[in-house]
Amino acid sequence: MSSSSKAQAGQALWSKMPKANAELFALTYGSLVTELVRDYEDPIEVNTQLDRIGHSIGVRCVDELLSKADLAGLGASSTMCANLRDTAEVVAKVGFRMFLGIQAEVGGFSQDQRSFSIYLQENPLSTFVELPAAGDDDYQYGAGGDDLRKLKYSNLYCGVIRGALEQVNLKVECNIVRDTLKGDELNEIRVELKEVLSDGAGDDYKEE
Amino acid sequence: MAMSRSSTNILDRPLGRSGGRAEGSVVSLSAFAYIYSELVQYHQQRAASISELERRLESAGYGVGLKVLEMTAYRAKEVSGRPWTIILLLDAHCSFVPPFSLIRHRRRDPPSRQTKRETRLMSILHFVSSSVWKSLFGKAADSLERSIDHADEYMIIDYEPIASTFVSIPPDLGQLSADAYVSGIVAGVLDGAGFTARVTAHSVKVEEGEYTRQGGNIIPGIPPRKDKAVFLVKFSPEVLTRDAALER
Repeated sequence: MSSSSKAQAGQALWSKMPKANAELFALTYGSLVTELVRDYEDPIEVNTQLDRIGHSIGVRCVDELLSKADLAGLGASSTMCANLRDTAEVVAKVGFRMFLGIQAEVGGFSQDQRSFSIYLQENPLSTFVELPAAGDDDYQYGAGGDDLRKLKYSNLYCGVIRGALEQVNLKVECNIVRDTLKGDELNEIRVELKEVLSDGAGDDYKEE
Repeated sequence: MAMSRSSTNILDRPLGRSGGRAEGSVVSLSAFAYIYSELVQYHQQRAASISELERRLESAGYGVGLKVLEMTAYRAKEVSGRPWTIILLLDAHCSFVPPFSLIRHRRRDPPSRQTKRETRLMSILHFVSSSVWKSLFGKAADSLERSIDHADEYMIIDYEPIASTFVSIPPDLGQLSADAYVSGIVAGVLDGAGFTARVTAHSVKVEEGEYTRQGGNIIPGIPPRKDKAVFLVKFSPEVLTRDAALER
Protein backbone atom coordinates (compact mmCIF):
# COMPACT_ATOMS: atom_id res chain seq x y z
CA MET A 1 0.00 0.00 0.00
CA SER A 2 1.62 3.18 -1.09
CA SER A 3 1.96 6.25 1.04
CA SER A 4 -0.17 8.42 -1.22
CA SER A 5 -3.17 6.12 -1.03
CA LYS A 6 -2.96 6.29 2.76
CA ALA A 7 -3.03 10.03 2.46
CA GLN A 8 -6.11 9.70 0.28
CA ALA A 9 -7.77 7.42 2.81
CA GLY A 10 -6.96 9.93 5.54
CA GLN A 11 -8.42 12.74 3.48
CA ALA A 12 -11.56 10.72 2.73
CA LEU A 13 -12.11 10.01 6.42
CA TRP A 14 -11.41 13.60 7.42
CA SER A 15 -14.01 14.91 4.98
CA LYS A 16 -16.66 12.76 6.61
CA MET A 17 -15.88 13.67 10.21
CA PRO A 18 -18.24 16.09 11.95
CA LYS A 19 -16.17 19.14 12.80
CA ALA A 20 -15.58 21.36 15.77
CA ASN A 21 -13.89 24.71 16.02
CA ALA A 22 -10.14 24.35 16.31
CA GLU A 23 -9.84 27.29 18.66
CA LEU A 24 -12.36 25.88 21.10
CA PHE A 25 -10.35 22.66 20.91
CA ALA A 26 -7.07 24.44 21.61
CA LEU A 27 -8.53 26.51 24.45
CA THR A 28 -10.11 23.46 26.03
CA TYR A 29 -6.84 21.60 25.93
CA GLY A 30 -5.21 24.72 27.33
CA SER A 31 -7.55 24.79 30.29
CA LEU A 32 -6.74 21.14 30.97
CA VAL A 33 -3.00 21.76 30.89
CA THR A 34 -3.31 24.85 33.07
CA GLU A 35 -5.26 22.86 35.60
CA LEU A 36 -2.58 20.15 35.59
CA VAL A 37 0.20 22.69 36.05
CA ARG A 38 -1.72 24.20 38.94
CA ASP A 39 -2.37 20.83 40.58
CA TYR A 40 0.96 19.10 40.07
CA GLU A 41 3.36 22.06 39.95
CA ASP A 42 6.23 19.87 38.80
CA PRO A 43 6.34 20.08 34.97
CA ILE A 44 7.84 16.60 34.70
CA GLU A 45 4.83 15.22 36.54
CA VAL A 46 2.55 17.23 34.27
CA ASN A 47 4.23 15.58 31.28
CA THR A 48 3.51 12.18 32.80
CA GLN A 49 -0.12 13.09 33.39
CA LEU A 50 -0.53 14.37 29.84
CA ASP A 51 0.89 11.11 28.59
CA ARG A 52 -1.54 9.17 30.76
CA ILE A 53 -4.49 11.23 29.54
CA GLY A 54 -3.34 10.77 25.96
CA HIS A 55 -3.12 7.04 26.49
CA SER A 56 -6.71 6.95 27.61
CA ILE A 57 -7.69 8.80 24.43
CA GLY A 58 -5.47 6.63 22.24
CA VAL A 59 -7.02 3.35 23.26
CA ARG A 60 -10.40 4.68 22.20
CA CYS A 61 -9.56 6.57 19.07
CA VAL A 62 -7.83 3.62 17.45
CA ASP A 63 -11.22 1.92 17.51
CA GLU A 64 -12.82 4.89 15.85
CA LEU A 65 -10.14 4.95 13.19
CA LEU A 66 -10.39 1.28 12.35
CA SER A 67 -14.16 1.12 12.39
CA LYS A 68 -14.63 4.28 10.37
CA ALA A 69 -12.07 3.18 7.82
CA ASP A 70 -14.00 -0.04 7.54
CA LEU A 71 -17.39 1.67 7.26
CA ALA A 72 -16.10 4.07 4.67
CA GLY A 73 -15.36 1.02 2.55
CA LEU A 74 -11.70 1.85 2.41
CA GLY A 75 -11.05 -1.79 3.04
CA ALA A 76 -8.57 -3.41 5.29
CA SER A 77 -5.84 -2.58 2.81
CA SER A 78 -5.81 1.05 3.91
CA THR A 79 -5.18 0.23 7.54
CA MET A 80 -3.58 -3.20 7.38
CA CYS A 81 0.08 -3.02 8.22
CA ALA A 82 2.77 -5.47 7.25
CA ASN A 83 5.59 -3.65 8.97
CA LEU A 84 6.37 -0.64 11.11
CA ARG A 85 6.68 1.54 8.03
CA ASP A 86 3.03 0.89 7.21
CA THR A 87 2.04 1.53 10.81
CA ALA A 88 3.87 4.83 10.81
CA GLU A 89 2.10 5.84 7.61
CA VAL A 90 -1.32 4.99 9.03
CA VAL A 91 -0.65 6.90 12.25
CA ALA A 92 0.53 9.97 10.40
CA LYS A 93 -1.47 10.02 7.19
CA VAL A 94 -4.72 8.53 8.41
CA GLY A 95 -4.76 9.15 12.16
CA PHE A 96 -3.52 12.72 12.40
CA ARG A 97 -5.44 13.62 9.27
CA MET A 98 -8.82 12.25 10.25
CA PHE A 99 -8.87 13.61 13.79
CA LEU A 100 -7.05 16.89 13.45
CA GLY A 101 -7.16 17.61 9.75
CA ILE A 102 -3.47 18.30 9.65
CA GLN A 103 -0.72 16.98 7.49
CA ALA A 104 1.84 14.80 9.20
CA GLU A 105 4.94 13.37 7.59
CA VAL A 106 6.88 10.25 8.43
CA GLY A 107 10.62 9.91 8.23
CA GLY A 108 13.87 9.34 10.02
CA PHE A 109 13.68 5.58 10.18
CA SER A 110 16.45 4.04 12.17
CA GLN A 111 18.77 1.41 10.64
CA ASP A 112 17.00 -1.44 12.34
CA GLN A 113 13.62 -0.06 11.23
CA ARG A 114 12.37 0.02 14.79
CA SER A 115 12.02 3.73 15.31
CA PHE A 116 10.76 6.61 13.26
CA SER A 117 9.68 10.22 13.51
CA ILE A 118 6.41 11.97 12.83
CA TYR A 119 6.77 15.56 11.71
CA LEU A 120 4.03 18.10 12.24
CA GLN A 121 4.23 21.51 10.63
CA GLU A 122 1.21 22.75 12.48
CA ASN A 123 0.01 21.83 15.89
CA PRO A 124 -3.65 22.45 16.72
CA LEU A 125 -2.98 21.87 20.42
CA SER A 126 -0.61 24.77 20.74
CA THR A 127 -2.57 27.55 19.04
CA PHE A 128 -2.39 30.65 21.26
CA VAL A 129 0.29 29.07 23.43
CA GLU A 130 3.51 30.63 24.55
CA LEU A 131 5.73 29.07 27.14
CA PRO A 132 7.37 31.41 29.64
CA ALA A 133 10.82 32.46 28.46
CA ALA A 134 13.83 30.72 29.92
CA GLY A 135 15.53 32.36 32.84
CA ASP A 136 12.56 34.38 33.93
CA ASP A 137 13.61 35.25 37.43
CA ASP A 138 10.35 36.91 38.30
CA TYR A 139 9.04 33.53 39.22
CA GLN A 140 10.64 32.51 42.43
CA TYR A 141 8.13 29.97 43.54
CA GLY A 142 7.48 26.38 42.56
CA ALA A 143 6.54 25.85 38.96
CA GLY A 144 7.25 29.02 37.11
CA GLY A 145 9.62 30.60 34.66
CA ASP A 146 12.59 28.37 34.08
CA ASP A 147 10.92 25.29 35.32
CA LEU A 148 8.07 25.37 32.83
CA ARG A 149 10.60 25.00 30.04
CA LYS A 150 10.58 21.37 30.97
CA LEU A 151 6.89 21.16 30.22
CA LYS A 152 6.13 19.23 27.08
CA TYR A 153 2.95 21.04 26.23
CA SER A 154 1.88 18.66 23.49
CA ASN A 155 2.88 15.50 25.32
CA LEU A 156 -0.70 14.34 24.84
CA TYR A 157 0.27 13.16 21.36
CA CYS A 158 2.80 10.74 22.83
CA GLY A 159 0.17 9.17 25.01
CA VAL A 160 -2.32 8.97 22.16
CA ILE A 161 0.14 7.20 19.87
CA ARG A 162 1.28 4.91 22.66
CA GLY A 163 -2.29 4.03 23.63
CA ALA A 164 -3.46 3.52 20.08
CA LEU A 165 -0.56 1.28 19.08
CA GLU A 166 -0.82 -0.66 22.30
CA GLN A 167 -4.29 -1.73 21.22
CA VAL A 168 -2.83 -3.25 18.07
CA ASN A 169 -0.16 -5.10 20.02
CA LEU A 170 2.69 -2.69 19.47
CA LYS A 171 4.41 -1.44 22.55
CA VAL A 172 6.08 1.82 21.72
CA GLU A 173 7.81 4.67 23.44
CA CYS A 174 7.15 8.21 22.25
CA ASN A 175 8.99 11.41 22.81
CA ILE A 176 8.60 14.94 21.62
CA VAL A 177 12.07 15.81 20.40
CA ARG A 178 11.36 19.06 18.61
CA ASP A 179 8.70 21.55 19.50
CA THR A 180 7.77 24.79 17.78
CA LEU A 181 6.89 26.20 21.20
CA LYS A 182 10.56 25.92 22.08
CA GLY A 183 11.75 27.63 18.95
CA ASP A 184 12.18 24.59 16.70
CA GLU A 185 10.98 24.97 13.15
CA LEU A 186 8.63 22.02 13.36
CA ASN A 187 7.28 19.47 15.78
CA GLU A 188 8.88 16.08 15.80
CA ILE A 189 7.59 13.08 17.69
CA ARG A 190 10.00 10.19 17.93
CA VAL A 191 8.36 6.78 18.12
CA GLU A 192 10.36 3.74 19.07
CA LEU A 193 9.06 0.18 18.89
CA LYS A 194 9.87 -1.69 22.06
CA GLU A 195 8.09 -4.94 21.64
CA VAL A 196 5.50 -6.63 19.53
CA LEU A 197 3.05 -8.05 22.02
CA SER A 198 1.62 -11.46 21.45
CA ASP A 199 -2.09 -11.77 20.82
CA GLY A 200 -4.31 -12.29 23.82
CA ALA A 201 -2.68 -10.48 26.70
CA GLY A 202 -3.65 -13.25 29.12
CA ASP A 203 -0.27 -13.55 30.76
CA ASP A 204 0.09 -9.84 31.19
CA TYR A 205 -3.09 -9.74 33.17
CA LYS A 206 -1.94 -12.49 35.50
CA GLU A 207 1.17 -10.57 36.41
CA GLU A 208 -0.86 -7.60 37.50
CA MET B 1 18.92 21.04 11.40
CA ALA B 2 17.31 22.31 14.56
CA MET B 3 17.41 25.87 13.36
CA SER B 4 15.76 28.31 15.64
CA ARG B 5 12.75 29.95 14.08
CA SER B 6 12.61 33.71 14.11
CA SER B 7 11.51 34.38 17.62
CA THR B 8 8.47 36.46 16.79
CA ASN B 9 6.50 36.97 19.91
CA ILE B 10 3.13 35.26 19.77
CA LEU B 11 1.47 38.58 20.46
CA ASP B 12 3.10 40.09 17.38
CA ARG B 13 1.77 37.45 15.06
CA PRO B 14 -1.60 37.97 13.39
CA LEU B 15 -4.46 36.63 15.45
CA GLY B 16 -5.65 33.33 14.14
CA ARG B 17 -2.39 32.47 12.49
CA SER B 18 -0.57 31.49 15.61
CA GLY B 19 0.50 27.90 15.25
CA GLY B 20 0.02 28.21 11.53
CA ARG B 21 -3.73 27.72 11.51
CA ALA B 22 -6.14 30.06 9.89
CA GLU B 23 -9.08 31.59 11.63
CA GLY B 24 -12.12 29.40 11.39
CA SER B 25 -10.12 26.22 11.00
CA VAL B 26 -11.55 23.03 12.38
CA VAL B 27 -10.61 19.75 13.96
CA SER B 28 -12.84 16.73 14.16
CA LEU B 29 -15.64 16.79 16.68
CA SER B 30 -14.25 13.49 17.96
CA ALA B 31 -10.93 15.09 18.81
CA PHE B 32 -12.73 17.78 20.77
CA ALA B 33 -14.94 15.21 22.46
CA TYR B 34 -11.92 13.13 23.53
CA ILE B 35 -10.23 16.12 25.11
CA TYR B 36 -13.41 17.33 26.72
CA SER B 37 -14.11 13.88 28.10
CA GLU B 38 -10.68 13.81 29.68
CA LEU B 39 -11.25 17.27 31.13
CA VAL B 40 -14.49 16.08 32.71
CA GLN B 41 -12.91 12.86 33.98
CA TYR B 42 -9.99 14.73 35.46
CA HIS B 43 -12.26 17.05 37.40
CA GLN B 44 -14.61 14.27 38.33
CA GLN B 45 -11.81 12.42 40.12
CA ARG B 46 -11.18 15.48 42.21
CA ALA B 47 -14.72 16.55 42.92
CA ALA B 48 -16.66 15.22 45.86
CA SER B 49 -20.09 16.16 44.59
CA ILE B 50 -22.00 16.93 41.44
CA SER B 51 -22.15 20.61 42.22
CA GLU B 52 -18.43 20.70 42.88
CA LEU B 53 -17.80 19.03 39.54
CA GLU B 54 -19.99 21.62 37.83
CA ARG B 55 -18.21 24.37 39.68
CA ARG B 56 -14.86 23.01 38.54
CA LEU B 57 -15.96 22.77 34.93
CA GLU B 58 -17.33 26.29 35.12
CA SER B 59 -14.05 27.62 36.37
CA ALA B 60 -12.24 25.73 33.61
CA GLY B 61 -14.47 27.50 31.11
CA TYR B 62 -14.21 30.89 32.76
CA GLY B 63 -10.64 31.51 31.68
CA VAL B 64 -11.53 30.39 28.18
CA GLY B 65 -14.44 32.85 28.14
CA LEU B 66 -12.19 35.79 28.94
CA LYS B 67 -9.99 34.96 25.98
CA VAL B 68 -12.90 34.24 23.69
CA LEU B 69 -14.34 37.67 24.45
CA GLU B 70 -11.14 39.39 23.43
CA MET B 71 -10.77 37.31 20.32
CA THR B 72 -14.35 37.63 19.15
CA ALA B 73 -14.55 41.33 19.89
CA TYR B 74 -11.30 41.95 18.09
CA ARG B 75 -12.40 40.05 15.05
CA ALA B 76 -15.84 41.60 14.93
CA LYS B 77 -14.47 44.49 12.93
CA GLU B 78 -13.14 42.16 10.29
CA VAL B 79 -16.64 41.02 9.50
CA SER B 80 -18.15 44.48 9.59
CA GLY B 81 -20.54 44.97 6.76
CA ARG B 82 -22.15 41.71 7.66
CA PRO B 83 -25.10 41.94 10.01
CA TRP B 84 -24.10 39.76 12.87
CA THR B 85 -27.15 39.93 15.01
CA ILE B 86 -29.44 37.57 13.22
CA ILE B 87 -30.76 35.44 15.98
CA LEU B 88 -32.51 32.33 15.02
CA LEU B 89 -35.80 32.45 16.84
CA LEU B 90 -37.83 29.36 16.87
CA ASP B 91 -41.54 29.39 17.20
CA ALA B 92 -41.17 26.93 19.97
CA HIS B 93 -43.07 27.23 23.14
CA CYS B 94 -40.48 27.49 25.82
CA SER B 95 -40.81 24.69 28.22
CA PHE B 96 -38.26 25.47 30.87
CA VAL B 97 -40.09 27.90 33.04
CA PRO B 98 -43.22 29.40 31.50
CA PRO B 99 -42.53 33.00 32.44
CA PHE B 100 -39.80 33.42 29.89
CA SER B 101 -40.49 35.31 26.74
CA LEU B 102 -38.64 35.07 23.50
CA ILE B 103 -36.68 38.16 22.70
CA ARG B 104 -37.74 39.20 19.26
CA HIS B 105 -36.39 42.61 18.62
CA ARG B 106 -33.25 42.95 16.64
CA ARG B 107 -30.52 45.46 17.03
CA ARG B 108 -31.05 48.68 15.18
CA ASP B 109 -27.42 49.30 14.40
CA PRO B 110 -26.56 49.61 10.76
CA PRO B 111 -24.77 46.57 9.42
CA SER B 112 -21.54 48.43 8.76
CA ARG B 113 -20.77 48.91 12.41
CA GLN B 114 -17.21 49.10 13.59
CA THR B 115 -15.87 47.26 16.56
CA LYS B 116 -17.29 48.76 19.63
CA ARG B 117 -17.50 47.73 23.17
CA GLU B 118 -20.92 46.46 24.12
CA THR B 119 -22.20 48.45 27.03
CA ARG B 120 -25.84 47.53 27.13
CA LEU B 121 -27.30 44.43 28.61
CA MET B 122 -29.29 43.39 25.56
CA SER B 123 -26.38 44.04 23.21
CA ILE B 124 -24.04 41.86 25.17
CA LEU B 125 -26.58 39.07 25.34
CA HIS B 126 -27.01 39.23 21.58
CA PHE B 127 -23.27 39.32 21.19
CA VAL B 128 -22.91 36.17 23.26
CA SER B 129 -25.74 34.23 21.69
CA SER B 130 -24.78 35.12 18.14
CA SER B 131 -21.14 36.17 17.66
CA VAL B 132 -19.58 34.14 20.43
CA TRP B 133 -21.76 31.13 19.73
CA LYS B 134 -20.94 31.25 16.04
CA SER B 135 -17.26 31.53 16.55
CA LEU B 136 -17.15 28.68 19.04
CA PHE B 137 -19.84 26.34 17.81
CA GLY B 138 -20.34 27.34 14.20
CA LYS B 139 -23.96 28.40 14.69
CA ALA B 140 -25.95 30.92 16.66
CA ALA B 141 -27.70 29.85 19.83
CA ASP B 142 -31.21 28.60 19.17
CA SER B 143 -32.94 31.17 21.26
CA LEU B 144 -32.55 33.87 23.82
CA GLU B 145 -35.31 34.33 26.36
CA ARG B 146 -36.05 36.75 29.12
CA SER B 147 -37.64 35.96 32.43
CA ILE B 148 -40.90 37.75 33.00
CA ASP B 149 -40.79 37.43 36.77
CA HIS B 150 -37.15 38.25 37.30
CA ALA B 151 -35.68 41.14 35.41
CA ASP B 152 -32.18 39.88 36.05
CA GLU B 153 -32.63 36.43 34.50
CA TYR B 154 -32.13 35.40 30.90
CA MET B 155 -31.83 32.08 29.17
CA ILE B 156 -29.70 31.08 26.23
CA ILE B 157 -30.92 27.85 24.69
CA ASP B 158 -28.98 25.44 22.55
CA TYR B 159 -30.71 22.34 21.24
CA GLU B 160 -27.49 20.66 20.24
CA PRO B 161 -24.89 21.69 22.75
CA ILE B 162 -21.56 20.49 21.47
CA ALA B 163 -19.93 19.73 24.80
CA SER B 164 -22.43 17.06 25.75
CA THR B 165 -22.76 15.53 22.28
CA PHE B 166 -21.43 12.13 23.27
CA VAL B 167 -22.20 12.33 26.96
CA SER B 168 -24.71 10.21 28.73
CA ILE B 169 -25.23 11.00 32.38
CA PRO B 170 -25.40 7.96 34.66
CA PRO B 171 -28.31 7.91 37.15
CA ASP B 172 -26.08 8.61 40.13
CA LEU B 173 -25.02 11.88 38.55
CA GLY B 174 -28.59 12.72 37.54
CA GLN B 175 -28.48 16.46 38.07
CA LEU B 176 -25.18 16.99 36.31
CA SER B 177 -25.12 19.08 33.21
CA ALA B 178 -22.14 18.26 31.05
CA ASP B 179 -22.42 21.71 29.54
CA ALA B 180 -21.24 23.38 32.73
CA TYR B 181 -17.97 24.10 30.93
CA VAL B 182 -19.85 26.20 28.36
CA SER B 183 -21.70 28.08 31.08
CA GLY B 184 -18.28 28.91 32.47
CA ILE B 185 -17.25 30.27 29.09
CA VAL B 186 -20.39 32.42 28.98
CA ALA B 187 -19.70 33.69 32.48
CA GLY B 188 -16.14 34.51 31.46
CA VAL B 189 -17.28 36.45 28.41
CA LEU B 190 -19.90 38.40 30.37
CA ASP B 191 -17.62 39.11 33.27
CA GLY B 192 -14.82 40.20 31.00
CA ALA B 193 -17.20 42.63 29.32
CA GLY B 194 -18.20 44.09 32.65
CA PHE B 195 -21.48 42.25 33.07
CA THR B 196 -20.97 40.18 36.15
CA ALA B 197 -23.35 37.29 36.11
CA ARG B 198 -23.87 33.87 37.56
CA VAL B 199 -24.36 31.44 34.70
CA THR B 200 -25.54 27.89 35.21
CA ALA B 201 -26.16 25.12 32.72
CA HIS B 202 -29.21 22.89 32.88
CA SER B 203 -30.17 19.93 30.77
CA VAL B 204 -33.85 20.13 30.01
CA LYS B 205 -35.91 17.54 28.24
CA VAL B 206 -36.99 18.56 24.77
CA GLU B 207 -40.75 18.34 24.41
CA GLU B 208 -42.20 16.37 21.57
CA GLY B 209 -42.38 18.48 18.45
CA GLU B 210 -40.53 21.33 20.09
CA TYR B 211 -37.53 21.05 17.89
CA THR B 212 -36.63 19.12 14.81
CA ARG B 213 -33.38 19.61 13.15
CA GLN B 214 -33.44 20.51 9.50
CA GLY B 215 -31.43 18.23 7.33
CA GLY B 216 -31.20 15.24 9.60
CA ASN B 217 -28.91 14.50 12.45
CA ILE B 218 -25.56 16.24 12.44
CA ILE B 219 -23.73 13.16 13.55
CA PRO B 220 -24.73 10.12 11.60
CA GLY B 221 -25.39 7.09 13.72
CA ILE B 222 -26.38 8.66 16.99
CA PRO B 223 -29.99 9.25 17.97
CA PRO B 224 -31.45 12.77 18.07
CA ARG B 225 -30.79 14.74 21.23
CA LYS B 226 -33.30 14.31 24.01
CA ASP B 227 -32.09 17.21 26.08
CA LYS B 228 -31.41 20.79 25.27
CA ALA B 229 -28.98 22.93 27.17
CA VAL B 230 -30.41 25.91 28.97
CA PHE B 231 -27.89 28.47 30.13
CA LEU B 232 -29.46 30.53 32.85
CA VAL B 233 -27.84 33.93 33.17
CA LYS B 234 -28.48 35.84 36.37
CA PHE B 235 -26.95 39.28 36.32
CA SER B 236 -25.60 41.00 39.40
CA PRO B 237 -27.76 43.81 40.79
CA GLU B 238 -25.20 46.50 39.94
CA VAL B 239 -25.28 45.46 36.27
CA LEU B 240 -29.03 46.05 36.15
CA THR B 241 -28.72 49.33 38.01
CA ARG B 242 -26.16 50.54 35.52
CA ASP B 243 -28.20 49.42 32.56
CA ALA B 244 -31.25 51.19 33.94
CA ALA B 245 -29.17 54.33 34.34
CA LEU B 246 -28.02 54.11 30.72
CA GLU B 247 -31.63 53.81 29.63
CA ARG B 248 -32.30 57.39 30.58
